[in-house]
Amino acid sequence: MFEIIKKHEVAPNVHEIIIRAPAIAKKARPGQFVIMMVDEKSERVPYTLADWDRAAGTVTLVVQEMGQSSRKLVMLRTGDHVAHLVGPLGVPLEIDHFGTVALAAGCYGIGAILGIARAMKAAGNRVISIVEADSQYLHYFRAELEAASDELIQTTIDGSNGVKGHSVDIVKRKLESGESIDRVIAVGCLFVMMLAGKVTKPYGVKTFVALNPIMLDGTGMCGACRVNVGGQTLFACVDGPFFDAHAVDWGELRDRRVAYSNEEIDAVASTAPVEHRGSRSCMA
Amino acid sequence: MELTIDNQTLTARAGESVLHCALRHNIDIPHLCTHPSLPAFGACRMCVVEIDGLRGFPASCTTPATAGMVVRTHTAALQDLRRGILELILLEHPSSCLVCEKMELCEEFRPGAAKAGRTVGCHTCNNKDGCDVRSLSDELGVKDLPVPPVYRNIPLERSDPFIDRDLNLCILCGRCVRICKAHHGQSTIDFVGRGSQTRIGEAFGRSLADAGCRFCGSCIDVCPTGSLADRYAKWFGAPARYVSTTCTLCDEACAITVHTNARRHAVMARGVNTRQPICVLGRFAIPELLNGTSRLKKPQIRVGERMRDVPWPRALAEAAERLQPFIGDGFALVCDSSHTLEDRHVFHKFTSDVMHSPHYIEIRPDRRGVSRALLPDGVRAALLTGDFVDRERLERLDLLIVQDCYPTTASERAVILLPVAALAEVDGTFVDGQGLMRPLHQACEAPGVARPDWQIICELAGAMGAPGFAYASAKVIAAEMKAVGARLRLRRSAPPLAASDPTQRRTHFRGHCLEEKVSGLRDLSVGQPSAAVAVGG
Amino acid sequence: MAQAAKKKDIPRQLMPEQAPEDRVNNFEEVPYGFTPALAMLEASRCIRCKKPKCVPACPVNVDIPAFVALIQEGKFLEAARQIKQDNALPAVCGRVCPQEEQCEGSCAIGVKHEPVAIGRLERFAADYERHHAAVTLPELPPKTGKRVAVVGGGPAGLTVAGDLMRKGHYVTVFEALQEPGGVLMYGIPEFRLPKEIVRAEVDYLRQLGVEFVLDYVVGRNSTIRELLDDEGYHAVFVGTGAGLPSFMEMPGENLIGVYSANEYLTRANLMKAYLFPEYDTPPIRRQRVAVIGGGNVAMDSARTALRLGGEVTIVYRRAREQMPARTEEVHHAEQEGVKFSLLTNPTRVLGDARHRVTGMECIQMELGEPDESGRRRPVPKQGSEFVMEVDTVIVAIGNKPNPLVPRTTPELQVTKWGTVVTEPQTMQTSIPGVFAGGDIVSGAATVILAMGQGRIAARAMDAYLRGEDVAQPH
Repeated sequence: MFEIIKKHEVAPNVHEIIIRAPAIAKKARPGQFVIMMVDEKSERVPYTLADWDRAAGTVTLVVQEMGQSSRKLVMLRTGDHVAHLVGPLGVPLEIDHFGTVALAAGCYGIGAILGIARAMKAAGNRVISIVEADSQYLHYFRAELEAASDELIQTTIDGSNGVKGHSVDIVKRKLESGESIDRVIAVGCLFVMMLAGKVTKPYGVKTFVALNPIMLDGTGMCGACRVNVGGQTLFACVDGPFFDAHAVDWGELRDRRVAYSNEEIDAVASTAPVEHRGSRSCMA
Repeated sequence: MELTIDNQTLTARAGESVLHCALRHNIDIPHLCTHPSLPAFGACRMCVVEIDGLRGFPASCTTPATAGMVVRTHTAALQDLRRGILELILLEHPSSCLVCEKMELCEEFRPGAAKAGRTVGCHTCNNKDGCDVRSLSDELGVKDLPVPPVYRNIPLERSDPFIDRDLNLCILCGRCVRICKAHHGQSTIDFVGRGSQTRIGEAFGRSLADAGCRFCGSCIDVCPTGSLADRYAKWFGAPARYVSTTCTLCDEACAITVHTNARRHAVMARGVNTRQPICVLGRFAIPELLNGTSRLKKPQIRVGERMRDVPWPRALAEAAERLQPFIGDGFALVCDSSHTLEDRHVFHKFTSDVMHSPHYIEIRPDRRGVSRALLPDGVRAALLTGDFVDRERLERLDLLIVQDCYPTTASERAVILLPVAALAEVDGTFVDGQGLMRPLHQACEAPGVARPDWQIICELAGAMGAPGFAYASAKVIAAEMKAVGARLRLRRSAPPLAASDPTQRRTHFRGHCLEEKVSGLRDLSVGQPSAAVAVGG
Repeated sequence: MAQAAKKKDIPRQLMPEQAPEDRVNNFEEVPYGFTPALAMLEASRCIRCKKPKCVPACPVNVDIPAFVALIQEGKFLEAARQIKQDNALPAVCGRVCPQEEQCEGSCAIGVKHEPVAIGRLERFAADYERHHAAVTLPELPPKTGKRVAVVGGGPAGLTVAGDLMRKGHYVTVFEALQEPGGVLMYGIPEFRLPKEIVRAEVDYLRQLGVEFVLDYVVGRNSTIRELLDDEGYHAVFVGTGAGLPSFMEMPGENLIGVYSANEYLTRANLMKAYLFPEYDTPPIRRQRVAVIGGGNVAMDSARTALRLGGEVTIVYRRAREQMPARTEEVHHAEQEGVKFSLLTNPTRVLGDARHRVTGMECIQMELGEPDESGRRRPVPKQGSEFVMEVDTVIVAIGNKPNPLVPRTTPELQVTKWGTVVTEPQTMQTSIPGVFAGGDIVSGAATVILAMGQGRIAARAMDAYLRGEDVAQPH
C-alpha cells in the first residue's frame, strides 16, 4: 500500500500526485517510469516518474484522466492508498554533457520532463524547455520548469499567450536559424513525439522520445509493449521507454495503442454516477 | 405564399419563420439556439440574414416569412457577422483545437475515444462527431481566436445518475432550459448567476434528482456541445445505425429510436417524437439492460451439479424429451403480458395444442411491472419465461424449464435454461395499455446465440413433432393472427406518467428487478405509487 | 507373494474429472480429486519395494512409500506432514509434476500394469490437510541471526525460503509482481493449478516467518551487491526465472493479435482477465486462435483460449511424438476440442491496414535426418505453403532467462544463453554467498526441477551461513 501524500489538479484534467514510495524514490533516474495498480482488481498501468525526493522518500507522477484506470486514480484523495507501485522501470535516459539540449513536451509530458531538465542542467547542458498546450490555461509547472532550465518557452495552439504553435515549431525555427541544438528529448502524446522526429531528422539532431505503448507487466516478461524501432522489435519497458525518434514505426504504435479500444469504452460505459456528491474532483 | 431566398423562389407555409422555410428547402442558414423541437428564441444571432426593406440583420428564426420577401442568407457581411458571434461563443469554450492547423493530422494519430475526465479540446471531447460549434466553426472558416478562450474551472458534475455535465463546455444557448420547460412545464435547470458568472444549474446547487429532474434526457439531446452527455453512450461516437422501434418496458409503448454501434450493440435510445419526453427507463435503461455481462448467452442443461452449455438442437431435444411425460394438465406455461402478441400466441398454442394443458398462465404485471403467479395444484412441470413464481413453489416441481434474458432464482432450479433475445433485439407486435398494436423492429443483436421467445417455443414444438409451428418470422405469425396495422406511438395526448415523475416508473421487467441491472436506477428513488394521473396536459 | 498378486489385480483408480464439454466453459480444475475411499484403495496398490525406485526418481527425494502407506492406513494428515518433510509444495506438485517421467515412470508396478498414482495421492493428502484447516507449523530451531535474501517468489525461491526458515535463518523474499508465486501464479492456468492453493502455500510460509516484499525489483530497487553490502543480508538466492518470451522473429509479429504466451497467460491467470469487467484487465477474446508451440505452455495457452470462447489450433513444426508437452495435457487439450496442425511451420503473419491480424502463412514440414538432440529434423515441403485464417496468434515457443539480475550484477558469471553459472552440487554462483536455482540456471524447465535446485541451494546456503566452505563453479 502506497500512501498519496498530496494530490491536486494542476491544470484542467492534469493531476499531480505525490506518493510515498521510498524504495522507488531512492533509485529513480530521469526517463524512468513506474507501474501502478490502483486496487487489487486494477490493470497495471505505466506512469512516467516526473520527479522524486530521495530524502522524503516520495515520487511525483503527472496523470491525465483518460479512461477507467486513470479515473480510478484521480478519484482518490490525499491520504488514500494505491495498492501496488513498482519501479523505477525502464532504462534511464542517457544524461551527459551534450551541449544544448532542447526538451519538447505537451500534456502530461510537461510534468514528465521536470526530472530530465534538472538532470541535464546538472550535467552542464544548456537546457531549453519548450512546452506546448492548447491554450494558456492548460500550462502548468512554470516556476518549476523555469528553475530547472536555462530557457523556458511556453507555446499555445491558439496563440493565447502570444507564442502560437507547437513546441516542435519552435525547435524547427531554432534549427532553421542556425541555433545549435545537440540533442532533443520529446515527451507527450504520440503526435507531438512523431512531429519532433520529423522536424529534427533533416538536421541530424539526435532525438529521443518516450514511447507509450500498452503495457502489462512492465518488467520485460510479456512483450505487450513491443515497438518497432529501426526494423528491430524492442520492448518499451526494458529496452526503452526512450527510443530514437528517427527510427520509430509510428503507424504501428498508433494502431497497437488502440488494440483494446472497445473494451476501454465498455469499461466506462455505465449509468451509475462516476463520483458521489461531496467528493468532487475539481480544481483546487 | 411565395418569397425569394438567395434568388430562389420558394413557397412558405403560413406562420413559418424565414429560417424554417429556408431549412425546409435545404438552404442551410447557420443556427445554434434554434432546435426543431423548440419554439424560436432569437438568442444566438447566428441565423441573421439580409432582408430587402428591413434594417440591419434580422434573426431569421424570429422573422415570420411574408409574401414577396427577398432574403439573402450568405453574403460576405453576414459571414463576417456570424464569425464574430461565433468567436465570442468560442471565447468561453475549450476551442483551441478548432484553430490548430494540424488538427486533421492529429486526429489521425488519435484513432480511439479519449474517455477524458475534463474535455479540454476537440481531441478529448465526447461530442467530437456531433458538435454544432465545431461544424459551425468549419463552415464559417474560423482560423483564429482573436480573444483567447477562458476556462472557467467549473467543477465537473458526475454525481447524478445517467447524466454527466461539464459546464466548462456550455455556450449558454439555453436549449436545455427551454426544452425542460417545454416538456415539463417547470424547468429543473435554469440560468444561474449573472454576467460572466452565468451558468446553467439547479436552484440551491441541489442534485438533479432532488431538484425534480425527470431524467428524460431531452436536455442532452438538444445540447449542441459535449456539455451535457449521456454517460453510458458518451464515448461510443457517432452511431453506426438508427432503428425506430417500440419500448416494451411498460405498457405506454413509447416509440423510440435505438442507436447501435459497429458491433451491433445498443448504445442509446431516444424518443422518436422529440416534442414529448419519454421516461427514464426508455431513455436510459435499455442499453445497460441489454448489454449486461450476466445476460444468458447459450442454452444450458443441468448435468449433475453443473449447468452445461449445449448447442440449440441438443437443448431443444432434451426439453422435448423431458416434457413428453407431462403432456396434460400437469404442465403449466407462465408468462406475462409484456410479451409480444406473437410470443403469446405461440405460447398459448403450445400449451393447448402440444402440451394439451389448460394451464396457460399470462400474468398482468402490476403498475410496477411485478408479475407474480401461483401454480395450480397438480402442476408438476412448468415452463417459465421470467421470474414469476416463488422459489418455494418451484421446489415442488419435477421439471422446470426457463427461458429468460438473465439468470434468476428460478433459473437456478431449472434443468434446462434457454437464452432469450428481448426488447430492441426482436421483431414483433406489442399491445399497449389502450389495446392498440405497436411494432417492434430489431435494432441490435442479442448476445451469444439468444433467440426470440416465439422462435424458441416454435422450435421446441417442432422437436416434439408437433405440426403448425413452422413460422419463418414474427411477421408470418402476425399475419396468421390478422394482427396488422401496428403503428409506432408517435403522437400522444400527454407524456407517460413516469416521464413526468420518475418515482412512478416500473421497477421490474419480466420479473427482473431493473435496479439490479441498470446501475443508475439505484440512485433514483421510487416513490409511493400515486393515483395514475398523467400530468402535463 | 499372495499379497503382491492381490494388489496387481486392483486397477489404477481413475480420477473423477470434469467432462470436456463442461470444463471448456469454466476455469475450474479438471480433476475433482480422489475421495478418501478411492485414495486408500489406490494406496493399497503399492507393493513396498525393498529398494524403491520412485524415491531417487523424485527431484526432491520424497519418501514416497512412507506417505503412501500412511494414506492406506487412513492417516491422511500424517501423510501430508510426511511429504512436507521433503516437498514444500505438495498441493502444487501433485498437480503439475510430470510424474510419468519421474516417480510414476519408475514405479515397479508400472512395468506390467499401471503405476501407482503417486501424484494423485500426493495431491489428495495435501488437499485434505488444507481443507481440514489442519496445516501445522513445525517447531523452529533457535534463530541463527543470519539474514537471507531470496530474489524471486517462484517455485525455486519459495522452496529455499521454506527450507532456510526451518533452519532458523531469517528470510526475505523479494518479488517484482504484485503477488508471489511466479510462474505458479502467472503461467499455469487456474484450471490446472488453482491460485487459492498457491496463496495457501505462500501463507504457510508467512506463518513460518518468511517476509514477503512485493513490487520490488532486485536489479532496480537494490542490486545483489547492495543486498549483501548495504542491506545486511548474509546470503542471496537468485530465482528470477526464465520469463523473457521468445518470438519467432517472422514478419508481421507485431500485428495486433499476436501475443507471447506469457502475455496471454498473465492476462488470464495473474490479472484474472477472464473475469473482466469485474477485473479491469481486458482479456483477449477472439474467434480463431493459432498457438505456435508444442510444450506445456502451448497447451495451457490453447486451453485458456478455448475457455475464452475461441476455435483453437496448435501449430507445431514437428510430429506428435516429439511434442515436449505432458501427454496428459495434450490429451486434455484434445478432449476439449483443440485442433492440432502438426508438421506445420508458420512463416508470416498477415494483417490489414490497421495492423490487425487477418491470417498466418504456414508451410508444411516433413521429418528428415536427426539433429544434435537426436530428434529427426523437420524440413519444409516445397510448394506446400497455405494461409491459416486466424485473428489471434499466440507464440509459445519458449522463454529465455530474465536478463535483469545478470545485467546489473557484473561479477555474476553467465553462459552465452543468459543462464547463471552454478556449481551443480551447491548451486553457488561465481559470487561467494550468492546462489541460484530454477529456470534462471536451467533455462525454462519444470516447477519440480526448480524446487529440486532450490532444495540443493538451501542445503548449501545453510552450510555457508554456518561458516562452512561451499564449492563455487570453477
